[in-house]
Amino acid sequence: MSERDEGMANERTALAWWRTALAAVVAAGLIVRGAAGTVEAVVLGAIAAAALAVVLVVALGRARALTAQNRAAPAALTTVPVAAALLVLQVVALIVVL
Amino acid sequence: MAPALPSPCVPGTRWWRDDPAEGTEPDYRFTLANERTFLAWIRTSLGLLAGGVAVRQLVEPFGVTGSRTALALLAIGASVVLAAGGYVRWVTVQRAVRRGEPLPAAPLVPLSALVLVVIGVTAFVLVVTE
Repeated sequence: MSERDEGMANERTALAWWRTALAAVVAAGLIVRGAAGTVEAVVLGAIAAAALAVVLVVALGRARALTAQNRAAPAALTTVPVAAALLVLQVVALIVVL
Repeated sequence: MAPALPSPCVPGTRWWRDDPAEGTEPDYRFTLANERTFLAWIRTSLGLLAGGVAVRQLVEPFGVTGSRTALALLAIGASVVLAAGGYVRWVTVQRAVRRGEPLPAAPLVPLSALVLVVIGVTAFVLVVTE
């Protein structure tokens, strides 16, 4: 990678990861709030929190790597766990809604 | 002898994941642009997920019984479709870029527009007819 990042692609991608992490915090917060009144509140809350933790860890790691202009982590190692964590959040949300 | 047509997937690779060994490593800006697009789909999916839960938890019941739950399920279902579609889109675009092929069509865009119109119209009707 050249020293000069034309278009600031790394920085824009790192910011996209931060926005996604913030969106995940909001969604997980609403899910946990919704689960508070259910019998399985602790289990559902723990699962949602674990899924959120996965998103945050991946987002933080990827954003730091991109900001440091270090492409050590292939994108596949970030997209797959985030998609899987989102699937878990969706399942928990379905249980909460139903 | 005519050259063989490119197969949809190199033997040994899986359709559901990006294989760095397939094709050549593209310009990092293309890879990052594809990653940002994937994240945009994920955020859209998260927005629908949060909206669905919020409808069920925070909105007062509508006049029609079960309509609040139906609207929430519609939003969460759309969230699942967009997240899965966003991932598949990321894989197919990454593969096309590695092979130097044209980008595949994006049926997810009109589909998401249609889904959002349905959700919006449903919410509008429920609010107006209350």
